[in-house]
Amino acid sequence: MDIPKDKLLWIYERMQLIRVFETRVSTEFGKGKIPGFVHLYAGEEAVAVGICANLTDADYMTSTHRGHGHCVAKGVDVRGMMAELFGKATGICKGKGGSMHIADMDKGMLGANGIVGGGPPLACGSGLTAKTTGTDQVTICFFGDGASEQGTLHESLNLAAIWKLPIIFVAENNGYAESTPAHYHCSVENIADRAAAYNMPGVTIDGNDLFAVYESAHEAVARARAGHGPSLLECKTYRHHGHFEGDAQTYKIAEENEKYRTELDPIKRFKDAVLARSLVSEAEMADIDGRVNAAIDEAVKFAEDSPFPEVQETFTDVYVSY
Amino acid sequence: MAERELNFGEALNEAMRQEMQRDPKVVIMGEDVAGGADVDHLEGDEAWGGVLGVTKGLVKEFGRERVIDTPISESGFIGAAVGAAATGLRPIAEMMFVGFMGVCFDQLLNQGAKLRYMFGGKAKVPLVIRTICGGGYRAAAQHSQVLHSLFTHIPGLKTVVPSTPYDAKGLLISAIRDDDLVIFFEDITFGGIKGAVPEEDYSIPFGKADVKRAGEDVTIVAIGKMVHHSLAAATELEKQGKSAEVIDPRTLSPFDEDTVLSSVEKTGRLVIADESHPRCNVATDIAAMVADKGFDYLNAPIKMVSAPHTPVPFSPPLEDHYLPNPQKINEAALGLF
Amino acid sequence: MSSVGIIANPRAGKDIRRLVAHGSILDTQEKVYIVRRAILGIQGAGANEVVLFPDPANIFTKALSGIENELRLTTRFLEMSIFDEASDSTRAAQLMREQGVTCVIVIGGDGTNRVVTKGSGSMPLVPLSTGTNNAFPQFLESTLAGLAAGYYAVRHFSPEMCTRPTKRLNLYRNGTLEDIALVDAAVCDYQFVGARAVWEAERLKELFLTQGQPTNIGLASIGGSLHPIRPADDAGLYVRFGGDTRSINAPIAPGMVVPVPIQHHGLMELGTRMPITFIPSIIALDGERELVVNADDRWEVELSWDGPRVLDIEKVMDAARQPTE
Repeated sequence: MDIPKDKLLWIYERMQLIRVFETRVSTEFGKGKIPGFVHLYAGEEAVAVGICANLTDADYMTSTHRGHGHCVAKGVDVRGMMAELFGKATGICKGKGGSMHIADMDKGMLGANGIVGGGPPLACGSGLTAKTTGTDQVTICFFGDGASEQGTLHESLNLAAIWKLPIIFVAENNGYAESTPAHYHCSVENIADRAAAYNMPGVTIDGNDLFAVYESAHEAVARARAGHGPSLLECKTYRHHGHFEGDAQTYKIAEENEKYRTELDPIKRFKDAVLARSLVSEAEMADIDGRVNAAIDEAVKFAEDSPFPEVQETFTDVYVSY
Repeated sequence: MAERELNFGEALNEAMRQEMQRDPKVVIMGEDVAGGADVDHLEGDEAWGGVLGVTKGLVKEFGRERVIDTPISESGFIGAAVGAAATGLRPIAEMMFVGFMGVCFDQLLNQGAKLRYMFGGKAKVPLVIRTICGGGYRAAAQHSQVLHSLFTHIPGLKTVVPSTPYDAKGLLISAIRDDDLVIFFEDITFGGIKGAVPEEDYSIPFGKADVKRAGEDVTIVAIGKMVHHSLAAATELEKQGKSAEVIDPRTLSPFDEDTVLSSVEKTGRLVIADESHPRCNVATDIAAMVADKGFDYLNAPIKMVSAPHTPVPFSPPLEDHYLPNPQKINEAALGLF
Repeated sequence: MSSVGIIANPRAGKDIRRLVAHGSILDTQEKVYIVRRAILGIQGAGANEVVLFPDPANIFTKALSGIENELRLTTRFLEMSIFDEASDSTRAAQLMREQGVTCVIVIGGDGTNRVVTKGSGSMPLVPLSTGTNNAFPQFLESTLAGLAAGYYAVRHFSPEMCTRPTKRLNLYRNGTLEDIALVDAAVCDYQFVGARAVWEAERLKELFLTQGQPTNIGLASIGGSLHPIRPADDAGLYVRFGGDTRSINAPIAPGMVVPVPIQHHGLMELGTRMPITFIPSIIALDGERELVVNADDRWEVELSWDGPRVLDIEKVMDAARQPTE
């Protein structure tokens, strides 16, 4: 499928929005303005955006502790996200969730998740809802290479397969589960190899190639919408930051780190490719850059200017009724 | 409308049938809830209808799309039930034995119970998890536990422990209609208990205790099967000249403090019977509450009758020794005079 | 010194064809078994040494760790840095040739052989198919491939007798050799290299083939259906797609038999450069989208006999039956 120009522009805008958002979060975190801890998505933008470019707001997504990129790609408002990270009342979750629990039900975003492997069973649930109620909604289940070792993932792959649920399991293999390399923690080289054991197609792709992700997701989403069941896409990628902000990253290999930040950078590769085919101009991209920077500046200002929640908020939203 | 005698399981079955007829979003999922899925000669029929037969007949009426057999994947299907509830279904998930909650605990503790709060009130999880609990079945340590205290501790969960067929139906209907995650405990020995149950659907509100027997001299707060033991103990106490009031809280979260406090205000004595292990259980929780809010009512120390701090043993003499019974409750009550 | 090399592509058998067609998932563990059997075959022929590619998936490390007790020959890993990209295989082949390896077993598809060829020079290949979408390598139990490669290295059979030449396609950009293909070069109207595989017939605009037999799968099958060209024939095939006058049925991917509209086809002569006419476009080499053809570039394709020499397994095994002198 050709990617229409407006979609190419959207893709570029979303990838940049994630990158600038995360870079800014790193800065603000460094200044001590963001409580708790954050896990940044920079470097993996092509995965979230390449997948989400094939979705609508009605489609569902479950995410991970590294969820900011997924949220931005799914269309969650960056002001509300930034305010959430700052713990403010105007946050997308009223400041009650923070970085690891950003959710937006209106966008089908069923939550970042502080538990590695927490999301896949939930994805089976939204898949079951779509199947039972007869809609064509699909669910994207993002998980990392670390979660691929959790029993919940294996149970969920099996459930999705036997119930033919409309789920696309997306393994974001960034090479490290916290500080532990995938070649140590994972019994197989490719997480997608495991798909065969669950009777579903498994594809290993270059997760830093937006077009490879987009095309594969396009096919997997079409398959799920048509009722042909789940699939497993493994996107090999790399995180520019540590597991969390403040991670000294001594386990990383310097040359590898450098290469992924330069020639293998997903945004650079996207830019080079569209410029080579003259599909988008430098000026159009510069224009987007300007808007993205302004949007993130605005988001930070919004977060800073917003009030903290009233302490009474501690007691609300535990139950619908009690 | 007519009242018939139904046993505990029949009352639950009727509650589910009526709610499924009323609301197409209600689905049942769990291991063997129909049983025999995909077995050709069972097309449209069931093998088991749940391990104790509580969901029997439902697959015939509602089909396999709404009575969904799951693999033995507790994390997977309980998590799926949470996700389905958050996206519009109203699942009733059956967790065969409460001990198996250990397999899927994350999906309850960190997902189901917390989604609403973490998302700033933007999600709801209208899910009921039915589960078998209790000793006396010679089922040993993993299949005989009473763990309602564990779940009562967790904000975001509601816990319901019915003791009669009437309460079972009304509370289950409330649980299905409730927009929060409810864990519904069914004692394994209740299969034979019969009672009057109205045919029509009715609901019993959460957080409203039921006084199963009125009395003047001592209050016995009893949970689940302990209600029956306490009533038996009360009959004995009567013979010994003591009038016991037996209160069944019915729901532990939320909990009806007022009914307990006003009873203690009247009797001045409190025994709490809970088949849980003795540390940090619902009995200690109620005791602490009364000590805090009803200290002046008390004429004697609060006594708790619980199982010991051991796993449930298998051998019948050991299990009988382990379990609270009417005699232990009786002795505890008499000790207060 | 009788030395055989093995190169395996850890990435083969994982691509989007598993999603859009019905390609098998060839998991890494299966490759490990294939490699083990090949090594034991080489050893069975009496070779002293096997030289291994330090692949990023650790296929060879895992293979060796399962047969330590059975190994008598020397195993040696190439000393090279690995970047987890196709050029790793090219450099591995180059190093093996420089270090006097007699022949190299290539475990992978058309694409893997293509990148190995860029470094293997005159060193013969033993191409072993593992995937479901290949024309260049043959399906063969790896024990036998190992045995044949081992005999060839130990017995010093003549290359003229026991290997055969292959054709290749040379792709020139503005007159300079830019890339090669061993089986097919397909000009497609994709926007990007993207997921690499080619599976949509309507994307095909032009096709250049070194071979195309009725028993082939993939793009070579189009040749097989139109005008069969054998690997030994002194010709290639050129196809232009489109129009609505003529259509053939071809298995262009595993489990995917589709109508392919044919506008024109003809033989490719050796040594004649044919221009690529559909521009801008993406060129897929041996089934994988590789090259971006920009509007202002002039591209040409030429058929030659410069492909790698390939071990003729039957001839080697025949020769091996004769007693050693």
